[in-house]
Amino acid sequence: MQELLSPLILTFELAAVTTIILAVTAIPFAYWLASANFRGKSIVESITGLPIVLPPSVLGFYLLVFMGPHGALGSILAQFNIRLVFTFEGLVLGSVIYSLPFMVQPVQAGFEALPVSLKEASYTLGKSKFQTFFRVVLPNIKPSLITGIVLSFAHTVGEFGVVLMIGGSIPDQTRVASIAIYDQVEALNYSTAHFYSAVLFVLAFTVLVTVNMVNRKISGKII
Amino acid sequence: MIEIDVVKRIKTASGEVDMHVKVDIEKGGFCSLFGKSGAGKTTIMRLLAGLTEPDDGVIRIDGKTWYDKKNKINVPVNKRKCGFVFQDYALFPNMTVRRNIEYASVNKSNVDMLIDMVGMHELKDRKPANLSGGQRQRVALARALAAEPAILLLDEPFAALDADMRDTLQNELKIIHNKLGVTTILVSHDKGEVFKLANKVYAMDDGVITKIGTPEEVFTDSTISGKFKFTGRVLKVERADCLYVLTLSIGTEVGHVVATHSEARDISIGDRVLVYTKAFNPSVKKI
Amino acid sequence: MNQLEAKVLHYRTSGQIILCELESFGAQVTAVILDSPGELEYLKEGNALNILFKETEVIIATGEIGQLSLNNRFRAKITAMEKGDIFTSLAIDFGTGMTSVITTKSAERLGLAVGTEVTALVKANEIAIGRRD
Repeated sequence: MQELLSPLILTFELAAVTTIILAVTAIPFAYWLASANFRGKSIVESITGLPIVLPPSVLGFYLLVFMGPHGALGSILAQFNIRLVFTFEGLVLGSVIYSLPFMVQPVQAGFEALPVSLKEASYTLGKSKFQTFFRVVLPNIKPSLITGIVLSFAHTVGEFGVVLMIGGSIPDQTRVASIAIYDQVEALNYSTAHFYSAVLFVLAFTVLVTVNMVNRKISGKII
Repeated sequence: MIEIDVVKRIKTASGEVDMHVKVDIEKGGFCSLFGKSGAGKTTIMRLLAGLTEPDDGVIRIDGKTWYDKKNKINVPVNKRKCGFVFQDYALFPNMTVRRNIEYASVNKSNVDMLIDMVGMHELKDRKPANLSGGQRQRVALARALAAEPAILLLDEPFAALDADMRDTLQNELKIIHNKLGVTTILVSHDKGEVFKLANKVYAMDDGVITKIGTPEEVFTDSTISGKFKFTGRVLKVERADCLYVLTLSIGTEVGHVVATHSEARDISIGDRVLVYTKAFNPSVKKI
Repeated sequence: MNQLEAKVLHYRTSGQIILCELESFGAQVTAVILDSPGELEYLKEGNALNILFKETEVIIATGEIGQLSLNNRFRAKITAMEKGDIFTSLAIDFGTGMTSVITTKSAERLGLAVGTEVTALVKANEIAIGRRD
């Protein structure tokens, strides 16, 4: 049983860790993108959006090279006895990069759609940028935040190419559900493949329905 | 005393202009920046609040410097204590009426007093989305006052409201100003509003202040001759036969004037009007 | 308020009272006003300005006019009528339009109708002048 459930548990661990890291890093990044106006902004935005259009195997391949023992990052980390390729940590890093646009884009759009006067009103009321961000800006883009969080999570659950390239299929380490399904099908073990697929299917559907309902409820309250 | 002496490049209807503003506003007064849209009125308010940076110049309030280009002084918005009532009110959608005011308040014990003052007690737990334009306006005013501002800046605060609501809120604002004595600057393009509220007017056109004075001095029509001219407010417009009878309040008196269809056509209740007659017509009697 | 364009022919003053001789669409107009000429920068000989007078102060006459003190006479034609119970509003034209409001009783006594030729009369002290913008 433990063996059967392991890919599912691993998948949700990976998705949860990735989403938390993205929430902490990508939300401030999106805020910066939404408010800053600098030369080369469109280049930064394009790089952020690359994982959407790039085939996952291409991204996975470059990440593998980059993180590998002879790669730019891999060789440095190797000196500290840290290895990213074929480890869970490596998967997390890959997933964060791969899912970055799914967090950044909806959240950035949310920040941009927020009337500037709300921020300005908060400042004129004597509030700092920090207070304004947490008490006025963030609470008023809740639908975008939920969309960003759910999309990043769901997208990480569903990834295959990047994981396969940099993680392989090591049980309890890197063998996530999508990889396990592939392995089971290759082994003609259709019932187990069915099990994983059905769990992912039901979960994905439930999550989307919930998000849509929650967002409808919130946006009904917000002008 | 507010001293503004700044230069700012702005876009107006007739292209880019270097707006040079030099105004001194006395403490506790109620003054108005009057002019067409795009004349630079809102820009002056934003410069004062620190939301827009001037290209050059000095802004001083009661001897404290808020902005000085040469000495590189620029006090940030949140340290300036300018209560700004935005045209779109900018209420925080995530907070109820009460929370909006509480968020701004310097002194939490004043929150209920402010809610009562703007007549929002019954609706204090509603979110802004469930309020009418006039109610939002009231909350925005109470919120600005809750921060105990040194200056209250009102950017066309009544523009989006219907005539009756505008009239009511103007009266309330007048009462609140008299009570609290906060230096208030009102941006407006409505002569009637300025007449009613302000004791000093800065008329602006294309980034230039063209006239300064009391509303009477700035607006009274000097294009018609005559020594018997008064400004009054229309209280009633009634049709009588093929003419109209206007009931006007002039000073503290109420009077009636007969008007033709073409005169009465553009006049509605609450409008400011010039009442004039030839000096030959009135008769006098000792009382 | 009737508002017609007029040209200043000349004016003279006596104390604060100004007597202006003007011309409006071929009609001679005299206006007496109480003001200081120095304050009326538009009051200059040859200048165009507006003359203003209230509709209810326009007298209507038909046929031959005998001796009358009134100077301001406009030979005009009625172009429209709006009859009320007490008042009748007449739109008249003498090269430009103006309005006269008289009692319906008078309008009926004079047998006024659209097209009737009339003389409109206005006392000089009823006419105000104003800047033409």
